[in-house]
Amino acid sequence: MHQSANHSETTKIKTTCPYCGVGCGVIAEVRDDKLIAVSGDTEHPANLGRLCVKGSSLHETTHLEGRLLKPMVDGRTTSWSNAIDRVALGFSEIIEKHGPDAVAFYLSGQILTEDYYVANKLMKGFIGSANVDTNSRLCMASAVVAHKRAFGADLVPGCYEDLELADLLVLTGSNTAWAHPVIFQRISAAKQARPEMKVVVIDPRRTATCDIADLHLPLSPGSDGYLFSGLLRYLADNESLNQDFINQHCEGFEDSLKAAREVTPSDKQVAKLSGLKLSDLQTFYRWFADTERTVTLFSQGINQSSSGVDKGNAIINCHLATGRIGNPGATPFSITGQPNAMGGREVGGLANQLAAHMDFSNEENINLVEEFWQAPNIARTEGLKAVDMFQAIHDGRIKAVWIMGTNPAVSLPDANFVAEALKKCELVVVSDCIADTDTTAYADVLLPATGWAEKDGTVTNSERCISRQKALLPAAGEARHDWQIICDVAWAMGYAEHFNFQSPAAIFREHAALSGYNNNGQRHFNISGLQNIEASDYETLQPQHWPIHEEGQTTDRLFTDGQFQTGSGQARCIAVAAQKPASETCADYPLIMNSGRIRDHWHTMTRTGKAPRLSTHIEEPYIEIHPVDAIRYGVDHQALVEVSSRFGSCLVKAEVSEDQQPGVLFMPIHWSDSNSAQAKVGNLMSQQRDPLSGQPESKLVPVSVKAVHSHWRGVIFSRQKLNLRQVRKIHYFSEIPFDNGYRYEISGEKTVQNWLNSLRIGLHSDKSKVELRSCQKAIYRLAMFDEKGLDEKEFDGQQADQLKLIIMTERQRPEIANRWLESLFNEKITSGQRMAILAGFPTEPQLDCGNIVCSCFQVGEKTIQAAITAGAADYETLADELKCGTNCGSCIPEVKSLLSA
Amino acid sequence: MAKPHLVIIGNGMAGGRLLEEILKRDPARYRITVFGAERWDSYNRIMLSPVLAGETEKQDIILHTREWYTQQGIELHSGDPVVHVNTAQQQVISQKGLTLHYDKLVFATGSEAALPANLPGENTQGIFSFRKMDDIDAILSAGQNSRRAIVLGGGLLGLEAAYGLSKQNIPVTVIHRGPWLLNRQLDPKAAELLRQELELRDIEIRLNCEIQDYICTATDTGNVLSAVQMADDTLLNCDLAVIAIGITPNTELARSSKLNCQRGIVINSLLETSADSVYALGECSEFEGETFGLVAPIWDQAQVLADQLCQTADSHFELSPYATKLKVSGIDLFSAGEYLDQEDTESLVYEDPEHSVYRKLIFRGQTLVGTVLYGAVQDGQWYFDLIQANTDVRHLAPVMLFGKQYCKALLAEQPSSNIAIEAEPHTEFVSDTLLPPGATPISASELASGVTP
Repeated sequence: MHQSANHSETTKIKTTCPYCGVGCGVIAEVRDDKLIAVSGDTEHPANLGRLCVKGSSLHETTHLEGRLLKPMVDGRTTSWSNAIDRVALGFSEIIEKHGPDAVAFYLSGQILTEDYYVANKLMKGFIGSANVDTNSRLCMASAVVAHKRAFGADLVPGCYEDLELADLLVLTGSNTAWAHPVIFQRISAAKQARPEMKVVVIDPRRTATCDIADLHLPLSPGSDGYLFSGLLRYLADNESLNQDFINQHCEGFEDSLKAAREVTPSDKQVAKLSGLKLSDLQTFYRWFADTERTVTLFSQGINQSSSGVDKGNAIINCHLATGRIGNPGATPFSITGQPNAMGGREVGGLANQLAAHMDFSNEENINLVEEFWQAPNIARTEGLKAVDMFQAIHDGRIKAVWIMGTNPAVSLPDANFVAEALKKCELVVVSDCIADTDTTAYADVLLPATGWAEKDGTVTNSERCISRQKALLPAAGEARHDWQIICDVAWAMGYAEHFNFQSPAAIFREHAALSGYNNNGQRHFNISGLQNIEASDYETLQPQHWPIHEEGQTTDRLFTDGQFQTGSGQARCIAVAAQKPASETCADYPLIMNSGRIRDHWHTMTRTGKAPRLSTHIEEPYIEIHPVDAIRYGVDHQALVEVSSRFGSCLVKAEVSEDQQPGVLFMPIHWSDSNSAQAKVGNLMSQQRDPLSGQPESKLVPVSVKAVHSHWRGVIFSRQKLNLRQVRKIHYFSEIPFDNGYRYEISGEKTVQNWLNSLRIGLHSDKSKVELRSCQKAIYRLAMFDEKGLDEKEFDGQQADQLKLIIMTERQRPEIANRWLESLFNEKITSGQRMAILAGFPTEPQLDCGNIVCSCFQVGEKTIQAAITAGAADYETLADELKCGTNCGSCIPEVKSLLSA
Repeated sequence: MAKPHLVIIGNGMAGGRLLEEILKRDPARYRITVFGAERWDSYNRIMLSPVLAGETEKQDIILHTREWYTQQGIELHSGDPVVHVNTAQQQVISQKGLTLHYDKLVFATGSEAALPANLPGENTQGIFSFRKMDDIDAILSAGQNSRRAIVLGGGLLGLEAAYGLSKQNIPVTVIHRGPWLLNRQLDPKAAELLRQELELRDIEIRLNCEIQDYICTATDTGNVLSAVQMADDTLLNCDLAVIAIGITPNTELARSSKLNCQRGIVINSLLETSADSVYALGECSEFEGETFGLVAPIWDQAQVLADQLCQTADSHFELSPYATKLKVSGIDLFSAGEYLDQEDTESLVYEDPEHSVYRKLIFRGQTLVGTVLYGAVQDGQWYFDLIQANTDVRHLAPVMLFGKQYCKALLAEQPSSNIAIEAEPHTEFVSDTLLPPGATPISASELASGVTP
């Protein structure tokens, strides 16, 4: 545990970022139990000192606003012992009545390996069910299965350095620039140093990642399988196979090639199936064939598919066929979305895994784990994967679920179905660090968990690198660590002696010991070198890549000896019949919706939403639509559209952009009912999923769009968080935090005065306000002030107040300077400013910087444009003048696009 | 050949302004003679209320001294009104018997204070109108020992008179027939702010109130006002009454000269009356059914008439909106054009009750047709310009309610518009400041006369 000895001094603590799967090392500066600053750890192998904007804002997210601080049962705060008893008793009763498969844990790639380990152990070894699944199911389950099929285990062969060493880097299904910004920075730097390095981006969208692409292949959504199937055939037809490697280290190659030839007999056929230009396709194939040092980085665009596993194997096939695996700069590379998805995989925290890279396919493994755990009730068959698990909750087979550190009411597909399921479920336990999420709304028992800056343990990133997450701050309120909560429940259920852990180090030692238990070189995942690690060494554990057979060892690459974890030691080429997406358009739903991350937010925004500057890059939920479709469906740029699928609908703003292809839309995944009226992308998604991995086809949702008329549009700035969900006349809202308040973009059908009262903001009792009205035109503007004590009222000799609320509505969204108005919430308002506030912008235009492009330094579009007008001709000049892009660099593509505009 | 003879009847502001305009154009064209009824030099009638309030000295509001007339070669007969005009002979005869032939004759006879019908006899002491320099001395001398004064009329003139009396430490009550103050210039909201402000200054305001009777006491020196009885029979003790319910065009001479008169002397757009070579301008005139109480249209008349007399341009007079402000120190108030919502208008309203700021813009279709500003009157002139320009300004709403400085970008987008940015002669109306010609507040004597009986 971290305890700052001297409270006035700043302590620097090395820890790991809690966001994406890159797993960057962070140096946290702590003073007086406050996280005052963060910076990139130059010694961490993942980031070598870099941080993206999300990571750079970590210290802005640790304030206590919105935190869950006390246990709650049935909506009332209670003691920990009551809450634990309720969970233990509730689970025990249901297990007794309905058997162990009537309960489930739904975990998260955000919790630490130690948390994962005890949760998995409790469910699979002691409760006796494998109903443990995790939100990692939504992001890399397909890659896991592809790895297992090809390599015999869930093994990522390469490391980040390979991305820099490659002469050809293929990025497929990955908007690296936004989703893994530090990796993108490393690639960009490598390409700048070696301009001959080629980058191919395969993505239906033209994303920011295309900024560094030598070739962008805008394929039809979901056609990646054909592309890599065709590549295998091309390699065979063009004498580009590594026959020696195939012969010595692979099995099943001929079958895989045969399958490839059947589906993709010619380049032309591939071009047709993928919608690509033949010449572009062949350029890619030729580059791949000719470049020994080739890395194929794949992510959700591959995984989130009804044939995601096959796609993963189609990629791996090509690498096996060329022997490009286990070598520097040559590997297939699955990059994960979450900070500890890999840790969860190592522990076995998925329904189709048992523990420590052992699964249910092998009776010996089950016995081994049973023995190691001295488990009374070892599970012997796979449990239910995420979507199946919630179906079982919905139909009553599962009666109790414990959700830890994740927000499935937002993130699972078919959100309405998930909501119904949670509503029906007899016992819903949620442990989280945030009080109000769409999921906590359904909890019978709410358990306050420690958040990132308080947690203590290990995480594993996409390159198998185990790093420490450290407790920087004391636990908030009564929050406890997830592992403690799980152990407390295990104790209360009668398994005290098996969950008698006093520290995360103790759990880690057991986890490490299990990985080595009767291993005998059979399992690559072996960190037994750390099974006796001293508490003090655990405290200072350096980032290292597993396997770790002895303390201090680190392993950059796997399979360097050509040996795989299959029984034969040979890698398996998989016969893949590439196929179309299972979800197809139809007359009612003629468009395909793609989904994904935006640059500055993380998952359901429960944490990044706490740092206002992360909401400055993209403020509102949107759907990106090609101009052709916009015309076809009568959708105006920035106008509201209703997006509907068979499962539900969303109301978001249209972003008309040629970055999309006609017929394809894109919607970000981050918004929820907690911060928007109807922008939860899960509303639209079907439960369609890969039959092998159970991963939902979230990238391919057939939808329709319809322009929605708003009688008026407007904006509210409020010091207090408002509950606009209760205001029925507002049909659209989106919450955007700023320093000292919240902005709400709103629109509605009736005139404003009709709903002002339902805001309950004391409109009529407060004299300290200014108002602008025009009944006929729906124009309404209101600013309210907090009256301060007399001593505070004097400000430069003038009466001064603090802004409390601003409301502005009009037929069209009022053209105002958001940033400037927001900044006024930090100021005392003089009488002279009151009218200017309702005008909505300063008379000196330089005070309005426009939409934020660089979140790190808060550099706005108007500021950049002014600098360009003033003569800044290239990015370097702008960077010198304005600092934009000089921290995390993720805005550089946008800054450059302003230069070329 | 002798110069043609131009005779101007009236030495008020309209006549004075006409002289200036003629001198600007062609100083040598006419032999000019001016007759004035008052004994004073030409003075700025608008500034009578600051004089009453003791904020300005009498000599400071003199416009043209006798020396000025001499220098300009103008023959001035002040204190000698014209009593007869023979249009057939083209002759005027003054009270003192002076008979002059004219080639061109201008009526600039101004107006008189309108009086209520139920006023007691003329020799009742303590009842005054507020119209002329002489009125001020009379009011002030009567007010020296006054315990309470009433001002009849809550229009601009009445409020300025009440303010003047209050400044002279005379307790004062304004009795106003209308439902709100300045009900010819303000809407109820702005008027309410004004009422509150005046009450704070110890000026009592009674609205919807009419005087039924003036109660007088007989004394050695004659009948003296001692109270007024209201329509609801309540009594209000007072020993001084200032009547400020409007003005009546002074048409007596014109009527006796057989000029066509309605409420005022009827003129056409060239300011010609029904008689040859006879013109009229100012508060005595009537054009298209309108009479005039503000200087702005009168300044326009002076220009048109000067053009006509000097044959410098073929200009025509036309009606246009006017702007209003109240000259009470510390009260900023501006009104121009329409001031009440109509079925075919839309208004934009800004309110800051805590700081007593109120702004209203009234639109009809795409154009601005009126404004009422209280508490923050900067931009009044800009709005006035927009009202007169009669152009499409809806793209400036709602931001224009906050002033021109917020519309720079919007105005720049429409360079063709004649309301685009230009040099601003005056962005702010300051109370008690005499504005340059063209930017026209009204005041005191120029009270618009809708309440004329």
